[in-house]
Amino acid sequence: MTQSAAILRLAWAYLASHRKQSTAILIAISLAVSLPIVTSNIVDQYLQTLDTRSGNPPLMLSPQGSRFDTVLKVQYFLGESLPPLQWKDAANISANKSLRCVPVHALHTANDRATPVIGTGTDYFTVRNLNLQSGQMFTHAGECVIGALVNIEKGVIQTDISNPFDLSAPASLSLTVAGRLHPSGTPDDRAIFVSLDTAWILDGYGHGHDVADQGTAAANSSVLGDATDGHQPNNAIRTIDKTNRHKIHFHGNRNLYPISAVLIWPNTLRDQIVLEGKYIDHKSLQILRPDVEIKSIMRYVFQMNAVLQRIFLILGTGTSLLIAVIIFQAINARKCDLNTMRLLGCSHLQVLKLLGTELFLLLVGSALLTIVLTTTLIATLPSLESLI
Amino acid sequence: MQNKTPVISVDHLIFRYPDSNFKLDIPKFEVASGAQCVITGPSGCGKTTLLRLLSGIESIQTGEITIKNQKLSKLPHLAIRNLRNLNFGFVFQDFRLVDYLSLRDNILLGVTLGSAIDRAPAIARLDKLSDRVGIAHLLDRPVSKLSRGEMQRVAVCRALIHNPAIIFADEPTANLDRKNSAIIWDLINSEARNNAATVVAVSHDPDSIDRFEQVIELDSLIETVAS
Repeated sequence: MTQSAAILRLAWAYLASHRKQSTAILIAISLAVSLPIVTSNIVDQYLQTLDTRSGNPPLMLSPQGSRFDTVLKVQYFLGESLPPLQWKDAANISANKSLRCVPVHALHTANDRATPVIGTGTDYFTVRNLNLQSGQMFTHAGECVIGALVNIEKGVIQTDISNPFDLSAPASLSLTVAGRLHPSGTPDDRAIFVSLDTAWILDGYGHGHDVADQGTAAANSSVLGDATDGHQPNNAIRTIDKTNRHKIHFHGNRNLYPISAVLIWPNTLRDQIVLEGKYIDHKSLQILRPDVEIKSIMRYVFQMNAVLQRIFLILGTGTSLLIAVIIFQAINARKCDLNTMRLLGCSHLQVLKLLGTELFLLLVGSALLTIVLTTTLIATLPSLESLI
Repeated sequence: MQNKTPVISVDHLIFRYPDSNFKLDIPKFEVASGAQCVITGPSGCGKTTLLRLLSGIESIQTGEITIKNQKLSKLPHLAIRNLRNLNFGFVFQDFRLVDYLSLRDNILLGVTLGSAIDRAPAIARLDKLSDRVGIAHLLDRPVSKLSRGEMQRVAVCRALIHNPAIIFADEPTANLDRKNSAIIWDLINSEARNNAATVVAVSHDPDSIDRFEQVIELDSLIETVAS
């Protein structure tokens, strides 16, 4: 055994015989290092998610209300449902030939509210550059296309009931998965896409039933409460397939059906400015610039991260001081052993090497623990966007 | 014995501990190379202090100690430390073992952390030495689990492991029964003889004093040559 190996063995013997002290130092160092890394990582992931589509589309039409919340909901499918705008508003703006418009309906969820169900047109996939990995695009009501990260069981998606406390609320629908999208690294990877008709069936504007099953009149609280032809069948179709697809029909005024927002790509800058001017004083609608809103959000997140990093710096300094005190106390407690080494004529250099090796082993142990801790925390902690 | 070249010589040595009335005043004595010398005297007369002065652990205040033709007062601190590590073996009264280390690591401690000692011969000697004092089967045990007698044997092995030129032993058999005491003295004496090493020991035990050819009665500093 070489001298270095023998010193390593002595250093290990010390650390092993002072397990509690060594473990405390290992954990303290690992926590002090891994917490800022984990926080930074989570914040970076969030910022990356936000950055994926901050300027795409350049504009968005939505009802008057919180700009932040609207952009988060429509662009990233985050947060609670917002008051919708009416289809007539979407149709009105879509009639403008100098604009490319894609309606988005983001009012429903599946998988216990974990997965957003987005109603839109096939244009959405073109403007978002989304391609099918398998299957085909939805063509009928009741079909869906799922993002790359969405889990399915037996080829079916069960949507959530929009309001479990409202007896007049439509029941959930089993969606048939027609296709799966390629991964895009955007919020689309964890969303379910359906046609607007399917979204409106989920709202309760459309349904299917036997001709004889007229059920009861629509409740006042239901979406068809004001519709003259509105009714609630006793046994509405919950799984739409080719045998019952012909029974699906809609009630009420289609112009009043809800959507969350319209994504807008003006053909020219002039078209954009004209559109923004047109809606500048609108009473119920607003035109948003998603990139402006996202930059504001990112600024807040940056500031929050900066504050957190400062707190971690202070904590890290405190931890370092504490570790220094522990090491100083440990050396103090070993005065007798170090004196024995002096009496035996041991070399200063070799004794320093021994103490250095002990510190080195602690640092290596801390580094390994930090890697494990950081990886585990990053893998297990919920992402920031999932908390919104 | 007195005709041999002295390996240790003390000349008008005076030593005081700060804030203490204790004073060690030794006009002159010499220990010949390869001699086996024992220092005796009543408790508190300075036997241990003398041993510490001879081995360079305590610094000389007045007078001179010459070890192997080197005046300790002229040697820098580092050189004395190296001298101690390479040429001296020391059995301390309180053993001074590192309790979290195994017997093996304790015995090899001075060798492992020494600056110039070749470890291989020491490692080769370890089994033989530990076997002779009956601790070979305990080598991988932590010292904290040993009896005082076993600790003493470990301390002796540590002092002998690097074949030192001078062995200082401060009451090395104080905690042992007569049989084990004889084993330890036999070991020290025979190792010293085999390696032509000088032994300077402190002892109260009349049986062990008889083993030594030179006895220094510190109280009166009357030097007696036993044979």
